[in-house]
Amino acid sequence: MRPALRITVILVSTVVWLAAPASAQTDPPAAAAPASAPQDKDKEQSAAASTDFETGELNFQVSARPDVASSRFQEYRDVVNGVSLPAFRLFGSENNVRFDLRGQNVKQLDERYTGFIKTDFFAISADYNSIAHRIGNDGRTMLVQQSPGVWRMSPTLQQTFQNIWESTTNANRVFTTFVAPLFTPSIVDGSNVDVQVVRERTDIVVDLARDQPFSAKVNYRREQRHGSGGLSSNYISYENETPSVTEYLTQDVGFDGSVIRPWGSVHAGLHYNWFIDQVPSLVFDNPFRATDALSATVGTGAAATGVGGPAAGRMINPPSNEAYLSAIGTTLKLAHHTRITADVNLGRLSQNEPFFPYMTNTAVVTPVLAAQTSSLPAQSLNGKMNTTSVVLAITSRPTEPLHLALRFRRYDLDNQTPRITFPGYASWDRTWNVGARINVPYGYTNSRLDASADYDVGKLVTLEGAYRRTTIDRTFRETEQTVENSVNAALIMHVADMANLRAMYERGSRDYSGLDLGRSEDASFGVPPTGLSANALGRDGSLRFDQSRRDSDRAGIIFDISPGSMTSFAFTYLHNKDTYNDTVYGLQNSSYDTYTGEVTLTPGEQWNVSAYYTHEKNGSAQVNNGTSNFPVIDNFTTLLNDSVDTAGVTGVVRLAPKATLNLGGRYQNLVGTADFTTQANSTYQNARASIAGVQNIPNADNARIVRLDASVDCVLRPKVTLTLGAWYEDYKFSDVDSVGLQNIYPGAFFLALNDGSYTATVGYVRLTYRW
Amino acid sequence: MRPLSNRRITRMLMAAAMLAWAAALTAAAGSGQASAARAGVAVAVSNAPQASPPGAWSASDCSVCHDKAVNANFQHSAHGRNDQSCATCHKNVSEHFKSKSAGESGGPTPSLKALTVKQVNDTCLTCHEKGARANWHGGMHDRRDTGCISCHSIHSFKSPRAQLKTVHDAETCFTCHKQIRAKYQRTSHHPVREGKMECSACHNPHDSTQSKMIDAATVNDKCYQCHTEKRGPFLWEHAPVRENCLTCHDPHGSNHPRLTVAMQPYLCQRCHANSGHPGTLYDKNNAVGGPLVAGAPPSGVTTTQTIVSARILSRGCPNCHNQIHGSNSPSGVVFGR
Repeated sequence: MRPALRITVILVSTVVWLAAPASAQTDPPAAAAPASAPQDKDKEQSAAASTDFETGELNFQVSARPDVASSRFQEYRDVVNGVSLPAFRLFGSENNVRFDLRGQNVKQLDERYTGFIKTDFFAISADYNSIAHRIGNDGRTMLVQQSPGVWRMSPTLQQTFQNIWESTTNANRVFTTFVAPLFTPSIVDGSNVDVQVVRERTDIVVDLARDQPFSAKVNYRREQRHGSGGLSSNYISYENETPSVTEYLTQDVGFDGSVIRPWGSVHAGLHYNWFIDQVPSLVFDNPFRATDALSATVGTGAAATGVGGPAAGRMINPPSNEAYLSAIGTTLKLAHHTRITADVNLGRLSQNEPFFPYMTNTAVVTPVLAAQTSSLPAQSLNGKMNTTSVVLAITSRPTEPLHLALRFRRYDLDNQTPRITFPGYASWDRTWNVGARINVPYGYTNSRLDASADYDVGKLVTLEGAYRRTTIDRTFRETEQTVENSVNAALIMHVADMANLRAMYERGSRDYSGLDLGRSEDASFGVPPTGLSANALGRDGSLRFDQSRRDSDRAGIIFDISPGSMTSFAFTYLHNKDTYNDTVYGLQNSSYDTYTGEVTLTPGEQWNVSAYYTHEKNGSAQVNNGTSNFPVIDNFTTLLNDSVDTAGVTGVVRLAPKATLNLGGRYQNLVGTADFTTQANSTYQNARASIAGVQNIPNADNARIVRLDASVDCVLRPKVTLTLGAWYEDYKFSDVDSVGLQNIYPGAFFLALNDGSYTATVGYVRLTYRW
Repeated sequence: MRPLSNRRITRMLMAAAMLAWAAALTAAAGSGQASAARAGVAVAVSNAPQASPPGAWSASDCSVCHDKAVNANFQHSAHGRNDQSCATCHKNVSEHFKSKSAGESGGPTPSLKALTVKQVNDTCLTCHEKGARANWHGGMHDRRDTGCISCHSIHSFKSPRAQLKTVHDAETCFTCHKQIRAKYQRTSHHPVREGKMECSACHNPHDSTQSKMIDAATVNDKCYQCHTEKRGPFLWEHAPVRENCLTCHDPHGSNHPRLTVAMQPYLCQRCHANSGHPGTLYDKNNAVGGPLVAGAPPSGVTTTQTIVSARILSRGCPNCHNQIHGSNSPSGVVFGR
């Protein structure tokens, strides 16, 4: 028996052993049937004894699965090959002390334990959850991780590459004949990398006022993330993809209380939340340079031989930060189901981590010593943001058929971070960009008013109308304010318990004011650049879609019918469309349509089956132009479309009084396309004349998954159930961005992780013991 | 020195909890034995209705006829404790008993199924209109006649928490929110279908005060509870990120990496539509399988981009603009470090 399993059995046995004395005490003495109803006091005492119970469940499983290379197969889960303890539970009550302890996937990377102890006067509940996020397997790199966030390569190899690169003129640095042959052998001989991050979260809540007319709870959360939560890269000479470093610790401690009275309640809470980035930067060697140098950028001029850059690059991780969060509010209960609610939430977010230098390249010494913090105009940000949220709401049912609701919400983000002027910056770690840049402490206020009324017309029909107004005031954006008004109407019909229909339509319209197209980006320059191309938006009336005029349409219908107790049908249709007016460049419109049909058959206890089908269609159109001064002839349109078909079925069949067959399946097929429309003689068409022209993408994010489950539960004894089961999963992924990705391309090194297609069948035998 | 791992701390806490529980049991057992001895009476479930109806109807009284409703699951629940009377929620219990004892058909029924949705909800809210449910009235579920027993079951629940009709709360939500069921099966998703997270991690289905019933003042405040590293403040802010995470992400599921609403680089091109390489055309020629060399080696930034490009491969724009949620580097003006 493996050590891990041995420890698990001992742990569970210990818990069971601890429970044994309690269960010996819970058996009631022999009872005599009372001649009449028991008196209240005797009934109360006997009731206390009769609520004592203990129950539990243990699951042991043996499973077999193939080796699967793709990380997608074990994304967020461990699929065990061997013995495991999928679940256990201990649940009971002893003289008004209730306890419940559950465990899932014991000793696996996706294990979870939850539990509580509740007495008449206090309670403790806890939840430990481990989540493994597997990003990709079998990446290749020339670098080796020496410690979290430090990736190095052989200094000899680094120097060799530098010597070869510097002795080759730019004209001869052809990718296929020079670059790839130079670096590929080292990548092949390099290290294998699996990228994953594990999130371990523990929540503990102590309830100090059980069954009281007030509540008082103390909360504590601790979350540790280990590993690498993604990929990082920095264009030091080539873009060099490296696993990011994710060593994050987040903790939260807080108190929440409320007073509950017949007239309503008052609640308040205070939380302190702090995030620590335990490895604040990622450092990685530069394959092109063994020593820091300042020279011409790569590829400038046919005769250039130099290459600029540092011996090692650095990526700055998200800085540690903290937040104080407080809340206070009240709800008043008045006649006619009238509720008046007022809530205020205040937050203080801050961050003051030391700055890193502009770059790692010690060769950049003018106009500043770019690799030293002494050159910085400030040593840290001292960033502060205050958030204020106010919610006022009144709902009422003044007469039985009429229901009114009025709600006002206001959220204000007041960014008090000081503005710092930097004399320039390093865009890549080899050159200094002259020109002062200033940080922009963006803030906004979002105010929203909702008013709704619904009226019951008889017992069958409810009519609903609603109005919504959303106002957003922004600082340092192109517009000072956007205002959106929406109206909504809905019809709800009930036909006894047999059928329900809900139909709704919503129309919204957004406008803006205080337009200054240069306000946002100009705010980050000491001296804003001039010229048409310097202004990212170019033309009057052109505005980023999140602030532009917009018309929105929403419609939906939900219908379900149950002609008998054994059958039900449901149909849903939803339509969303946003059209962005006056947006010359960028997103023009986006839409989402979906319909679902579902049927459930429950003829009796012998069998039941449920099945559904959903179709979704997602689309968007945008206009772009990346050439100088944006001549209209170079405008091009990108049409993105996703079409998704999803289906699922579940069924349960009682084979015998003590044997049940469980079947399940789900299927999803997504086809994504990207189509481009360009104009004749545009720069883009002309540039592609020799390579078959502009080409659409027929397989942008195509994916198909098929999952089939089957299991048979056999009740061997009243306390013992044996389950035989298997599941099949087939995942196909075709994506023009990543499927077939190589480790080296012009201008970039990639890890080329495997998170793609797989097929697997898993079989298992599970024994469940209940008491 | 690395701090204690979460696993070790948790096991210590669980062990402490078990010791506390054992101590509580031991202490309670002592008093429990004494009170049982004083009572000298045990509960007996008679096999026939009482000669006269008792004043307060307990589960054991009603189980004579309604044994399926008064099952072990219910009896072990908070509702099923014998200090809770069935008549707390079910009305006309005495009249129902009299009618059935007299052999009458029809008669008053205590079943909640005979009540309107609002009447059922008012019954439950008598005790449960507090905490997360304090603002039920006027919410979207309330207005759309979603009853408490649409999602919850008192007698036949299956979930480990909140007494839902399904094992996982997502299955309950998908009863109505069917398009979300399709979305959560996408390639890039929160770990809901693996059972590591629930819909209620982000939504409070009993709320009426926040948009989409998000359990926080804003969407971003909710996202920061798990993605704390995105909270900032940062030296260089990315304004649409600060305003709303949903500008770029679909939290219910997406086929694009990182739950983005569109593939790269077209997502970024929704805003960065013109000027230089952000607004350039990236087609199939620039993706995997495209040409590797043009007429000459690539020379710096090209606006026409006719060969395979890192601006569409793998992560697209964030390949270089890595700190896209905000940068704290003095050189992070364009979120490149």
